[in-house]
Amino acid sequence: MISKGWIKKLFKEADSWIREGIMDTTQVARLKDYYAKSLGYNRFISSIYILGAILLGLGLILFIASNWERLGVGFKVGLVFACIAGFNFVGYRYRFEKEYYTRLGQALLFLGAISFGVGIWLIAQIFQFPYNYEDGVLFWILGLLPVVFLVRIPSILILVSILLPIWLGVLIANTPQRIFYPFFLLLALVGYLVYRQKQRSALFFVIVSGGIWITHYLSVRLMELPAWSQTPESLPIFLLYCNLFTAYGFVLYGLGMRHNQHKNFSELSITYKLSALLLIFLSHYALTFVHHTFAGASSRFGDVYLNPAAGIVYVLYLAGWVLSLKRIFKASDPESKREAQGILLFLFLQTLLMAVGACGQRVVSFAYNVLLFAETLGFLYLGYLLRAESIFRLALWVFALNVLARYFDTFWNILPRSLFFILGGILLIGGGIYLERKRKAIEQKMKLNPDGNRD
Amino acid sequence: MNRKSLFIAVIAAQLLFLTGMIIFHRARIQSGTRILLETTPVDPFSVFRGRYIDLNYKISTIPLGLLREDQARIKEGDDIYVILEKKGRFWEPVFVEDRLPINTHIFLKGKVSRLTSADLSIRYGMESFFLSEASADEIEGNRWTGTDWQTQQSRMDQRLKNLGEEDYRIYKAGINEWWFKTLDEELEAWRKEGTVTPEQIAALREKYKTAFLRIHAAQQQPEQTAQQPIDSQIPMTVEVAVTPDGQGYPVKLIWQGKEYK
Repeated sequence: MISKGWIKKLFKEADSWIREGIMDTTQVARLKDYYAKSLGYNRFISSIYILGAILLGLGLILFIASNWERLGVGFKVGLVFACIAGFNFVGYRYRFEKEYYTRLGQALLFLGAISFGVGIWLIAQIFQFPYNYEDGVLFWILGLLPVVFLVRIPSILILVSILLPIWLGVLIANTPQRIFYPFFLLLALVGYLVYRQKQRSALFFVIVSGGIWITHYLSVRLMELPAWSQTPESLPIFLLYCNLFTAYGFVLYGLGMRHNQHKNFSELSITYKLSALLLIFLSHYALTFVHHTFAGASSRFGDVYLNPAAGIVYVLYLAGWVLSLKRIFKASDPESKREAQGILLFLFLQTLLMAVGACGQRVVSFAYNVLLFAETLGFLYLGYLLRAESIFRLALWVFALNVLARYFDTFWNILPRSLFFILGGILLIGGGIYLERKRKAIEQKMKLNPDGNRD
Repeated sequence: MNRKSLFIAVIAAQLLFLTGMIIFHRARIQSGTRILLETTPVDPFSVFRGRYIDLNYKISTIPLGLLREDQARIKEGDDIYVILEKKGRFWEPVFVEDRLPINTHIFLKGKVSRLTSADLSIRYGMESFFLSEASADEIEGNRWTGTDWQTQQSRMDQRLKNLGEEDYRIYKAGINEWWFKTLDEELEAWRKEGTVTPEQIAALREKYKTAFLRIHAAQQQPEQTAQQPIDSQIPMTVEVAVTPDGQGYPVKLIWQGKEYK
């Protein structure tokens, strides 16, 4: 059975056949065209099956929820048990033992995974467990881990990875004062499966779970601070949270750089890098507005940043520094070295700016405006250098968003409304045309490079 | 062991686990002591688990006076054990412990969710009760005097029916001023062609104009009945099975003498 993974590898190999003179470009183009069609067809069929499975699963959940009185408990339990057994066994047969309908088999196995969750929630409903029954989500994850290990179905792995932050969220909502260190055991198990299957979407949710955990850790430790720190006007606290996300982002980017050089896991690199950039850009973008929203309390800066609660931020920054420094010394090509140098520069600037909170909200806002501008330009350059279209586009989006925000920020009170909107419209349209032309030209240059895309 | 055998074993383990959950909790409920607790409900809607009622028990708020001096260190998030005693129909708290009570008859284990200078709020893990749609609608419908949209619509519909058969027919057919405006233009054309007489046009105009006036009046008539809950102050009763280790399973919801599940 020709799989999607096999076709992807064929495409890469075919490029090398041209370089080695084994085949000419016409032949390779014909091959690629043939398989691209079957890839699209398979992906389409796969999507149809998965969509059908999701709809069936949702329908099952709603059916059970809405027909409580009409069906006996024994009937409902029996129905769910039959679904678990039936979907799994029939799915296994089609996926692994039949020549055709393997994607149907995958969809049925996915339905089996959903049915197990339905069973847990049905029993919870029978015994009137609370709606935020965190153990139910945990049992669901634990019950699916061996299934993922055995059958390697991407959709089930993604389901497990989505359940992970949900479980953590419910746990935090139920007991907000506790820090859950055993979470890392589950994270390790799911992470192992993600790496085994090199599943980028699942990795993203694992990264999100990690982010939720560190945010919760910081908020529990901050509860030990006096009451003033719990008020929304507290700039040092807001700055601390933004620094936490930034530090986590730099650690993720460092991991992304590390993975880029790894022969087995380079495909996961882009997930780390894009998640990192989202965190860094969003937190810095938020800090460019602090002159609007915060009253100050900058005199409390030392109380917050010298408190043990802030330790996690420093630890993450240190990890970011270590990962970036290692990359400079271990980079195998000049582009990777330049990338690591760029990250180190931004890390250095960011570490310096941690102290700027003591100068008040206007200084913070100005400093992060400058830093964000520099970062977007920097990552535009890095995206071009590394032939990473997704990084380039993300940086471009953030650049455009930042320009728009600054325009509003600066001219809203200065210009008459009508002129403000007219001028804004002209700038947007003109800017959009210019950026689009530049983006196409740059991406065209990236594609023409014989090394091909990095991601 | 090959992959297929392992897979079968995993699925069998899932089914056994679910069966075990049922047997375990059923046994705990059957061996538990049944008590009645008083509650006041709030009614959210949970898409993922049918209809459920949020329960706020009287024992969910404990006055600080029930705590001993050595329990002053209790803080939010701590486990707490509330010892209960039957007073009349319902069970009420008599004192609390911060560790598992020994040789105590009935108690519920909870977690301190909020601590103020006067009392502490406790969550016992039994703050929701799942109902069928019919039961939930019945409770909601009996609590309010028809403030929901459907009841208001049916009242308006009745008022329009009272206008008479022809006016009601015009309303149900969707005939409105916009439609009549076009008709009015067409009537002029028909008159010029000689298809209709001026008297007939006048009669049609009179018919629709008066019908529209009556329909509008009926639609804008204010609701006569007061819109307030009639018996939201009558508390609900929940029968709870309490296990020896203090876990509570709500098994019955009783309101105005009727059992809901």
